[in-house]
Amino acid sequence: MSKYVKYNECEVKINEENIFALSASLSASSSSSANIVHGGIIESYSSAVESSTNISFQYYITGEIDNIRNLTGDISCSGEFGGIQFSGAYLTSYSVSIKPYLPVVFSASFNIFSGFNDTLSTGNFTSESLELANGAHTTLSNINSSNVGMDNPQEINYSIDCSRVPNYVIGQEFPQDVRFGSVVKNLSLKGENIGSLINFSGKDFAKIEIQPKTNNNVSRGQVIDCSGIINSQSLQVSKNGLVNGSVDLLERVR
Amino acid sequence: MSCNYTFNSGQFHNLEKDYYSETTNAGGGNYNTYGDFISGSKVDSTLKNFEYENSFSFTPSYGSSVQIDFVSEIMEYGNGYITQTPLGLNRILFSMSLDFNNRSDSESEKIINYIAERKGASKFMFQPIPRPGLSSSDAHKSLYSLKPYFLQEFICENIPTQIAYTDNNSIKLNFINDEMSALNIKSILHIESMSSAEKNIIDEYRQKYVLDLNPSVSMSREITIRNQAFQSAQSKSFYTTDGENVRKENLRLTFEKIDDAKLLKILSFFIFKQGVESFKFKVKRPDERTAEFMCMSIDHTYLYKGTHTVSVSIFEVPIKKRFIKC
Repeated sequence: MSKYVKYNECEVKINEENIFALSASLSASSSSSANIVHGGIIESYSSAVESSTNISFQYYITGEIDNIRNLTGDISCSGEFGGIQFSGAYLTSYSVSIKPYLPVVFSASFNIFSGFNDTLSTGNFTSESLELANGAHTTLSNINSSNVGMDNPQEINYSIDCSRVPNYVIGQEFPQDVRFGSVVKNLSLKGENIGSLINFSGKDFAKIEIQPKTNNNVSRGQVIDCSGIINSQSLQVSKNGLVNGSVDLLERVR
Repeated sequence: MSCNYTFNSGQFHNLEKDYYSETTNAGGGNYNTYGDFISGSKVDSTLKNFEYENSFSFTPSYGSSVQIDFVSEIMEYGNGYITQTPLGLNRILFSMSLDFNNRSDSESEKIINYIAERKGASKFMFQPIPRPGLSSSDAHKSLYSLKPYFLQEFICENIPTQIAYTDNNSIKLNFINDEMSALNIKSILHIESMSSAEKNIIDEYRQKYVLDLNPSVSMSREITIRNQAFQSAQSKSFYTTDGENVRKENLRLTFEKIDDAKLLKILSFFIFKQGVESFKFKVKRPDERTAEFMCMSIDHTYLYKGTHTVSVSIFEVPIKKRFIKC
């Protein structure tokens, strides 16, 4: 029997910790295709490759530590999404979006390598007080015209991408283990009133630290850091406008 | 590790193996000697306990494959008639091309060291699932190298290794077994302690004469016409027909993405014919016709859990050749 569940709040749990999620999605695909035999008859459907499942969600941080950030290493987690429980999940992408006077939004994507149950249930996020990080109260270090060519960024996007390579062995539906691949941090700063063009050569180095904070100057999540090369920049200008630009930093962690 | 190559006096085979210890396997309920084991494990309806010394227990990755070739000398006579003369006694070549992808440094070192220690000459047992701890109904799984093959003794000569990233390596091993012959071919797929359902499939399909399992729609079909030609530098060529059996087909049949049951049917059908028995197969349009074929090689690839692809090369023969009356 079909079951319809309405959510007023989006409930996501990672390692038994409730996450204040804005939206969440879970997708699974098996890559099945038809087996057409001699004579043109469709005999069956099957998949020749491993199925893939991933979950992603956007969320606000309600404490001083974001435990999801700690999953960028060689570590798996379990979780729950709308009552659907999963385990053997590995973080593949972690990102932060900071805009002035807007709550700082965090995003995370996971690959699930150990399957999940498919029983939906209702739930809700409860917390005594929700004090969220505000983009206007973000503490910035080393963001100035001499370092990255702008003094006041209007938008900051930060991401950590982690490569995960599953080790599937014959006879098993799920991988025996998961190899930890590359880890790359990207930091993108967008702003106006660009001072001077950076001497972009792909070798310029910058170290930037960002701390999202609440209106009451309380930290939300760990310091966002990126110390790497400036690998791209762009400038735009329009009539009667200021010069707008963006600078992208890349740090290869592993 | 030592190897004893001396002849075991009084017996045709040397029934002592480095990997089978009589001390380890002493006691009731065990196959006490290798001789007991190699005969009893094939025919006992309830598999006794046994334990190898230091078997190869690493499970390969999907994409690994098995190849079975039947070695024969083919002689073609006038009018297209052929004879298949088996070459030697152990003419069934069984090899496994095994991929060990995305393995940690630790596991990779163990695999490399295991193979290197055997120096390409010492035989070893490939046993991913050990017998201890298995129930009676699952005991037969300890005799698989890879399901559905009850063949575990191999040698391996090379260890090609690809380092993909930090702590991520891929190793490709080619395991070879040339011990199989018409005398023991049945034991490749069949032992008495396996499930009745699987034994029934094997018994049914090893005796079949007509190939009633549909291959995939994509098929390679080579039709050759045999004629007589006279060619001279001083004149134009002269062609004429060459009596009977002028047309012959070579087919490459692929059974894509099949399940475990169909795999067992296909393998049972082709393996037990050993490349010397013929079978009937109907090739559909275009140019639909039914003809007599033989199979000389089988390729089986493990795609995913319960999903396989099997390719067989078959060629047309002019006359029926069967050992089993049907």
